[in-house]
Amino acid sequence: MRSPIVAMLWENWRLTRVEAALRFALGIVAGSAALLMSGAGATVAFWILITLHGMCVWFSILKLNGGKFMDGYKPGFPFYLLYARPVPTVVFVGATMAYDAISCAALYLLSAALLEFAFRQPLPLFSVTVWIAACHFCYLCVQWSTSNRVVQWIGSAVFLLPLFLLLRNRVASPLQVEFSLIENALMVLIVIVAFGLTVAGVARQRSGGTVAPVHRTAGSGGYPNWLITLFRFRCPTSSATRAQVWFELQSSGLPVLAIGLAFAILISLLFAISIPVTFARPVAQGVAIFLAPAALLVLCGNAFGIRRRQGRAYTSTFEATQPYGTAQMAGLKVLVRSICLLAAMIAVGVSVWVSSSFISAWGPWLLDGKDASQGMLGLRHEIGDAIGGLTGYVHAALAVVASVFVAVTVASLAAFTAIRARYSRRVNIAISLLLLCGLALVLLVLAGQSGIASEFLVDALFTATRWIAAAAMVCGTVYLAWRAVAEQLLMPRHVYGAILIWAACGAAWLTLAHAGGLQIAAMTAEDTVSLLWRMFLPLMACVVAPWSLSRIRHI
Amino acid sequence: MEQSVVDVKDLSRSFGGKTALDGVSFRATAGQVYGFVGSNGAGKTTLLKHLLGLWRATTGSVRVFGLDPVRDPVGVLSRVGYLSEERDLPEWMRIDELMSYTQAYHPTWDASYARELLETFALDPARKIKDLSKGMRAQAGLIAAVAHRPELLILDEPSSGLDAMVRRDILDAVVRAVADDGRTVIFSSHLLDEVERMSDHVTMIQNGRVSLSGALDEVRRGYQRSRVHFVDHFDSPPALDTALVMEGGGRAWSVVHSGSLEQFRHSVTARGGEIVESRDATLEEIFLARAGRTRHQAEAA
Amino acid sequence: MDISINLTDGVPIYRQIVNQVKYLVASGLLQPGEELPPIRTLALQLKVTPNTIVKAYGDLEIAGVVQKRQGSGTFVSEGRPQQVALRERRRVIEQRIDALLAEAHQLNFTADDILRMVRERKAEMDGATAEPAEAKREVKS
Repeated sequence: MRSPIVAMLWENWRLTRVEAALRFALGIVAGSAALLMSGAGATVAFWILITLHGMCVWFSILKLNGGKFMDGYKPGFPFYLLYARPVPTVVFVGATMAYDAISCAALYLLSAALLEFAFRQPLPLFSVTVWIAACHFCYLCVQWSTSNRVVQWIGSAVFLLPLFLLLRNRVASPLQVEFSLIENALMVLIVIVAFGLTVAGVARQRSGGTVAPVHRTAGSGGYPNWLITLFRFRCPTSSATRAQVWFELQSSGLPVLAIGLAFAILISLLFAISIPVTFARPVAQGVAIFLAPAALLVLCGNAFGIRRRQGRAYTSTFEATQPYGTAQMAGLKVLVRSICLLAAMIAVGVSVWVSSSFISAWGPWLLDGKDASQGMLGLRHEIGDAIGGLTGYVHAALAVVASVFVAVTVASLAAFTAIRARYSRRVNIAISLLLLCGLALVLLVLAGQSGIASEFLVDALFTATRWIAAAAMVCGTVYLAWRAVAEQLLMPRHVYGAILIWAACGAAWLTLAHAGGLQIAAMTAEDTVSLLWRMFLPLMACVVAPWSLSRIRHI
Repeated sequence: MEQSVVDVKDLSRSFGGKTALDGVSFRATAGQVYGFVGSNGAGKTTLLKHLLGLWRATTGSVRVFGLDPVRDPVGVLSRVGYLSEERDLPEWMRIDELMSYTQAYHPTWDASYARELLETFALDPARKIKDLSKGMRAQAGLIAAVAHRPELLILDEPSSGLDAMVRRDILDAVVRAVADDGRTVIFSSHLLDEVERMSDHVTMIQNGRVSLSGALDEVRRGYQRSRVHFVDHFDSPPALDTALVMEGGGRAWSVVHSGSLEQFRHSVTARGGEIVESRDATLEEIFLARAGRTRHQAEAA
Repeated sequence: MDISINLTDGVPIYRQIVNQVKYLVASGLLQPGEELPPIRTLALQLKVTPNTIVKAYGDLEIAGVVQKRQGSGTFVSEGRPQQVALRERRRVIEQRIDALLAEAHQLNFTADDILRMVRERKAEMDGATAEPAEAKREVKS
C-alpha cells in the first residue's frame, strides 16, 4: 500500500505529464529560435522560459475545478475529493504545492541548461529557483485558499505584481540575475506565508466553511452570466436565422464587444492618469501593447462554444438539437464573433490612437536611459503618415483583408478547438509530431550555422518542408470538401458563397500588392503562388469550420 | 403498412471498449406511446440520442420520418420535440426568451398553448433559467418541447428527480400530445408504474440489447405471477419449469414465470404442490425478474 | 365518473376500466343514455395513455354496454340493460365465490362446510337485526 504522499505525487504526475512534455518542447523550440535570431536572443529566451515554467502553474491541475482559461479557472482547491480521506490537510496541500514548484523549477533548470549547453550562451540557473518557487507558491495560494474571485484578483495583484517587478529590475544587461541575500530570505518567507495561508484556506474549505464548487450543466460559452446580462434585447421570432444571430450575440458576441470596450476605456484612462502619475506609465504601456492584444487573441478562440467539464469536452445539446443546418450554424457563429471582435479591435485601436496623443503631455520619460515617450510618439507619426498616404481603394482593400484575416483566425481556432475536443488523442499526437519537426528544423539551422551541413542542403530542406506542408493542407482541404459534399453538409449555395469570398479576397490582395509596388504583368511564379496561397486560406477555413462543427454536433 | 415514424435497423455503438448498443432494431408508428425501460447505463439514452442525430450511426441505420437525422437535421428536428435528461438549457436565458427563440425555429408554434402551460406551471417568464429549480427547468424545457405541437415527442427520463406535481404535469402534456393530434411519443423511464400507465408499447433494453419489445398487454400476458403451496418444506427454491423468480420460503412460494400456464402447473404438480392463485405479472415484476436473472447469470459466469 | 386504477393487482388497465364501467352500469350509477366522459378527459383524469381508453371503450361497445355516436361521443346503451346488469352482477359475485372456495380449500373446508357456514352466518345476521327490532317495539309500546 503506497503512502498517501507517494500516491498523490503519482496522481499529479499522471495529470501533468502530457503538459510537461508539451511545455518542455515548446520552451526548447521557442528558446532556440530566440537564441538563433539576434544578439539579445539570450534575454528573450530567458523571458520565454520564465513565462513558461516560472510564472505558469500546471493548467492540468487547475482545470480539475472546471472553468475556462480566460476566467483563470474556478478558484478553490481542485482535489476536493481528498477531503474525505484520512489525510491531514497539511500533507496533501504541501505535497501538491511542492510538486508544482519543484517540477516547474526542474523543467526550467533543464531547459535553461540544455539551451546554455547547445548555444554556449549563459542563462541564469540556480539564482532564479527561489524566485520560481515563490511565484508558484503565491499563485497557488491565491488560487486555492479562497473561492472568492474578487479576493483572488486582489491577491494576485498584491503578491505577484511585486515579484514580477522585482525580477524585472534584477535582470542585468549581460544576462545575469542576482538576488541579494535579504531578497532571497524575503522570498523564502513569502513561500512559508503562502503555504500557511493555503493550508488555512483549504482546511476551511474542507470543513465546509465555503460553498463547494457547483458544477452546472450548461454554461454560457465561458462568459460569466453578469457580463451576458449587461446588454439584453428582445429575441426576434420572425425567422430562425435572426433568432440564431440573437443567440450568438447574447451569449458571446456582445460580451466580446463589452470586453473590448472595457479595454478601450481602461487604456484611455491609464494613459490619462499617467500624465501626473509616472508610476502608471509602464502599466499603461503594458496594457496597451501586451494585455489588450493578448486578450483580443484569446477572445478569437472557441467560437463554437465548446465547454469542458470533468475532463470531457462537449457542445451544448440545446444548440445541437435546434433545426438548423450545420454549415449555416458554423458560418453564423464565425461571422458574429468576427464582427464583434472587429468592433472590439477598432474600439481598442481608436483608444490607443487617442491615448497616444496623451503621451506628448507626459513630457520626457526616461526608461533604460532612453526617452521612451519620444519613441512612442515617433511610432505614432510613422503609422499616421503611412496610412494617410494611401488612396481610398487601398484603404478598402486593407479593411477587406483585415476583416477576412480576423474571420479566418476565428474560424480556424474554432475548428481547431472542435477537432481537439473530438479527436483529442490524435490531435495531441499530431501536435507532438509537429513540435518534434520544429525541433528538427531548429537543429538543422544550428547545423547549417556551425558548418556541419551545407547551406544548400538546409535551404533545400526548408523549401521542401514548406511545399510538403502546403500540399498537405491543400489535399486535406480538398478531401474534407469532398466528404462534406458527400454528407450533404455543404450545399451548392455554400460553394457559391465561398467562391465570392475567394474573389473578394483575391481582388483585395491584388490591390494591396499593387500599392506595394507590384506590377501585375511582371508577377513571377513565386508571387503568383504566394497570392494563390493567401486566397486559399479563407477557402480552407470555409471547409474546415463546418466540417469540424458537424463532427462535434453528430459524434 | 403505414409509414413508420421511427425506423431503427440493427444499430450498434460502442464507446471505448464498452458496447452501448448491440444490434438494436426498433420501429415506431404514428399515434402511439412507446416506453423504454432498462437499468442505468443499459443504452436507452444512447438510442434516443441516435434518433436526434446527436450520435452518428456507425453501423446500422436510423430513419426518423424516413430521413437520416445526421444528413438532414432540419427536416427531422423541426418536427421533433425533445426534453433531455440533463435539461440542457442555456443558463443565461430567460423563460420568455426561450419561448421566443424556440418559436422562431418552429412555424407551428402555438402561442396560446404555451401561455396556458406557463400559467398552469406558474412559471414567471422573466426569470432566468439558472435561477430555476430542477423541477421548473423540466417544466420550461417541456413547454419548449411541446408547444410547437411536434409530430414526435422524445422525452429522456422525464420524471427523474422530480416531485409528484411536476411529474403529473409532464404526464398530462404527454397524454394531450397523443390524444389531441395523434402524435407519437417516445420516452424512457425507470419508473415502471409510469411506463405501465403511459405506454402502448414497451421495449426493455439490457446491456445494449433489446430483451423485450411489444404491445404492453401482450408483453404482460407472457408473464404470470402465481402463488404456489407445496406439501414438502423447501429451504431453497425448488426448480420449476419456466420459473424466473421465486420468493418466499418453506411451503409457500410466490413465482414469476413466463410461457404457458399449463407447463408450469404440470411442473408444480410434479413437485407435489398446487397453484393457489395466478395473475398477469406487472411490468415491475417482469423487469426485476429479467434483470435479476441476467445478473445471476453474469455472476455465475 | 368515479373510476380508479390499480397497478399492482396485475389486471390490464383497459380491462379494469371495462369492469368498472360495467359495474357502474349494473348498479345504476350510470343510467342508460348517459354520456361517458370523452377519451381525452378520462385519459387526463386517470393519467393513462388515450389508446388504453380507446381500447376500453371499444371493448365496451363490442359487449353492447355502450354505443358510440358519430361525432357526439360515447353513451350508455339504451337497450337490454337488465341482461347486462344481471350478467355483471353475477360476474362480481362469482369472483367472490371463487376466492372463497380457494381460501376454504387451503384451510381444509369442503364445499358442504362452506354452505353450512353461509346459512349459519345468515341466520345470525337475521337474528341480530331481529332482536334490536323487538327491543325497539318494546320501548315504543
